[in-house]
Amino acid sequence: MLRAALLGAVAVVAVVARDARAEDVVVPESLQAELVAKMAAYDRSFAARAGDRAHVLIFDKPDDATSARSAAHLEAAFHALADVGGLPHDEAVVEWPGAATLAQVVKARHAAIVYFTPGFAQDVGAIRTSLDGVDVLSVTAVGDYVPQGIVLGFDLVSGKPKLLVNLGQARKQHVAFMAEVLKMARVFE
Amino acid sequence: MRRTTIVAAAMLAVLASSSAARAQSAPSDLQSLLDQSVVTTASKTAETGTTAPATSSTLTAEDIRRYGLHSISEAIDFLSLGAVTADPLDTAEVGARGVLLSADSGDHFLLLIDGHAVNEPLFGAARFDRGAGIPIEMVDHIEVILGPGSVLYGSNAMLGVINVITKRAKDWHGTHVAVEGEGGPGQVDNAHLSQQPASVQSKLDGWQTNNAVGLYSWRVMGGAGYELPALFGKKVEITTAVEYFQQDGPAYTYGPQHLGGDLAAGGAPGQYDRPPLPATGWWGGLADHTGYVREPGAQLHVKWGDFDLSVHASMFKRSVPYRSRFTHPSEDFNDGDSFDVDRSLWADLRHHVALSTVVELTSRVYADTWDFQDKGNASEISECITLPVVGTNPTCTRTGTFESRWVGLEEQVSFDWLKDNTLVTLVGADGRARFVGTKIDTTDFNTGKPVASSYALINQSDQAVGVYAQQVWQPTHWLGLNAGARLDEETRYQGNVSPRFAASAGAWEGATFKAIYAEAFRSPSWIETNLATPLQIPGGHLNPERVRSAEASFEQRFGNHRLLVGGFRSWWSNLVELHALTPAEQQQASQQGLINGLIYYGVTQFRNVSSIDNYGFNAAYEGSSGDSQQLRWGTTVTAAVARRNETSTPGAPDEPLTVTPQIFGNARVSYDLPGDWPTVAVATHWMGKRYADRAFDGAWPSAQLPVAPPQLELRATVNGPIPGISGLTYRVGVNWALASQGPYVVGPTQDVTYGGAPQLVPVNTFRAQAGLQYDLLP
Repeated sequence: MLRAALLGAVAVVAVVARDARAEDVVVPESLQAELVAKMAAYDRSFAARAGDRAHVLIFDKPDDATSARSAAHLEAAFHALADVGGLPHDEAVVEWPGAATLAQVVKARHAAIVYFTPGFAQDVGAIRTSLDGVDVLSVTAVGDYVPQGIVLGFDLVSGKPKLLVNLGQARKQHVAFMAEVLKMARVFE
Repeated sequence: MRRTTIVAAAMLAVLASSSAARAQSAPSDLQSLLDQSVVTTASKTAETGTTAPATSSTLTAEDIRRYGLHSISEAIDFLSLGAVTADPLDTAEVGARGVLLSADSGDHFLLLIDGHAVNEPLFGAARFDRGAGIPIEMVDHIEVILGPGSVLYGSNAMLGVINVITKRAKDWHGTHVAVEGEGGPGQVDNAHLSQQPASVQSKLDGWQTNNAVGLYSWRVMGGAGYELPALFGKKVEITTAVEYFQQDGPAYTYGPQHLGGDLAAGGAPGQYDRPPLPATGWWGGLADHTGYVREPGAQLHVKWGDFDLSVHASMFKRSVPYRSRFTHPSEDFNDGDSFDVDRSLWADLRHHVALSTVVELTSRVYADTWDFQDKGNASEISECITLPVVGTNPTCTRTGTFESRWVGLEEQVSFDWLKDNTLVTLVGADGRARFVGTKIDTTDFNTGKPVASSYALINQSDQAVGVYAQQVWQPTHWLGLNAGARLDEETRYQGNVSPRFAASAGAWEGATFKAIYAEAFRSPSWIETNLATPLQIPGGHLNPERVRSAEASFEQRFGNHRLLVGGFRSWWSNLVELHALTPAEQQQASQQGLINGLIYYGVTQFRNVSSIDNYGFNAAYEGSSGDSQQLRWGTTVTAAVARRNETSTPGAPDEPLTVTPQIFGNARVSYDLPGDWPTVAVATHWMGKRYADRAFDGAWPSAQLPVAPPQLELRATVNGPIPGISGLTYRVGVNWALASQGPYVVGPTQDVTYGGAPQLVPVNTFRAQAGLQYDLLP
């Protein structure tokens, strides 16, 4: 009986593991959204970038359940916030258009924040290149993406959230976090 | 004393707070969010501690290092809210909020390592000190969840759940080596030799102590954390650490305790030292052969894609002068060949995947093996009456061998119905097959040959299954509801249902109210139901212990500050304790053939004996200040009343619980000096007076009731980089304890039978630590 159950479990694991990846969302999305809303207020360029309303685009990968799930959670988390960077806001989940057209989408929709859910490990380099010179705050739910070219992300260290900032990429995207905020973050150049 | 410690803690907090006001400059709104703990233990989901359905503390690796802590039990004492440990010298005992059940082998707190439950089924045992076998440098954080936790974890989670989370490779990147040592007075005159009456002094020939300072413990640790090239397209992370800890001392004097004649030897003086030392009828002396610990431990974590593999191996060998009031009443004194040793080996493979935007699946398979050997030598004839030749003062070696093995499978599915985390159902099932075995052998110490048949034989297998469901509903952004229940079935016990209901409400900015009702249970261990020895009748069918608990709390965050206050009440029933049979019960047991009719004293049996009514409050305040939170502080206090009633004895009066303090807490403050200057940290934990474990069943006259004095332990630590050598850091510290005695009666004089005064377990009042760590980063 137990042996059969064990074998069954192994079989289940083997089947569902086919599309597995290791891109953990370690900080709950609700807390991420709160942190982004606060961080935006410490970006000197944010108000000018956003205008009178902050548009948040959350990208998900088609056919990726983890990505879609995280995107839905982020959309709900932002929706519950009174303001983002002190501004009224709206948020939308957008199917990944591809790195080639990313900058175009960002500009067309006047996005102040673009959010990358899990599933973009192979795309981060192209995203970084695509957003060079584009005035937007890129954020990710996966901490590993930050050193590769996303401006802001989150990690969990000793059970507490940690800010990750790619300062070099921030400059390229005209994001100017205040110095006192950078002291609270792990900074990548 | 109690007032003094509270005032000191309050002053510390106020001082720190006022300093904070001056120095504060970091964005406090952001810092407030970053200071929120993310806990995964309370509901098996990552959530902030503020909204989790339990009162929790997160003990961080950073604090463990900065305050010079070396084990889970030390971290609990110095950092946690509501939990406390006690040290009978053998292995630490842990309690919470006014309830600590002495000699329970840790079976009322569920200990998890990376989510893997380590309490074994034979005793329900878990070790919370060095015996846990986890290199402390590999610990990322420890989640201490207070209150009943059976709703998701089943048996043993009565006081709470402690989850030790180890580091990921990214947080422990590179290769690491550490060495550390601890020293102080090598010998301590706990018996106060010079103060003994003249009638006793003549018995103390040869007893002496000195205060020479010595190194009595040391530890080496090696570990590594690496991210390896992808394997089959998936990233591989390995984190591992191996340690060896050795302690020899300090050596305390014990006794002298006069036990009179040995009835089995016709009333001749009892033999408490191994021949050829003479039989004097006195127990005690300088225990310089016992008081040692040997502990190798290793932990491995491999992450490959969405798979997580944890492997643990450890051994914990220790020898103490006096181990147990029941099982080792008259062992030879200062015998380093008498010891306990645990060995633990387990592996846990977990897989987590999102099947759709609604459904997530977590699968886990695990296997554990744990054994425990308990070896004791006794030269007193009455302890070795199975030898054929009586009167020659032989030495008997009694070796208990205890083992548990289990394998299990857990499947857990969560449904995020609205895809926004506001309506989430979690269902799961955890099944395990278990084996337990015991035997006790008696051999002649000199020849090694058996002198009696093995006894205390248990050889049992069983299955245990738990199914659970939890519903989380967040109807509005400020209100969270959590309800769940678990049904546990096992071969001996069926139908244990453990519900929990919790609500959290955000009232205004940074404020959260929380209310929780929960129940938990503990299945009696196999030792309690099945163990039979010449002096112990099997407990037979015992009812599971149960606890019901209600609590409410309020938390306010303001900038870098966090304040939590809460009240709780719990009702415990069916508590299993070792009951000493009355003469009539003993006669009946003899007639039933359960015991040898010649035994006329000290027969025991585990029974559902008592209940506990427990209530109180706890509070915590913590904060930080400075551009990089250079100044940090925190304090907790718990005040609780716990009254035990022996429900099996009609009309028995309520009495306080022994060992556990009714008021206790901790306070800490640290400052990071700039640049390569060190971090300076001071931490203290304190507790009020505690009745010793034999206070109420030793028949002591009220004037002699053994009570341990209030305790205050202060630890000052300095740690930082060594200039000029990249990667090399140091940590030095001193630990000072105000009281020199703890709440356990030691030695064979456990009650008034022999007329002596109770002697309490010694506490090491001063020790100093120093260590080096080298981190080689690739």
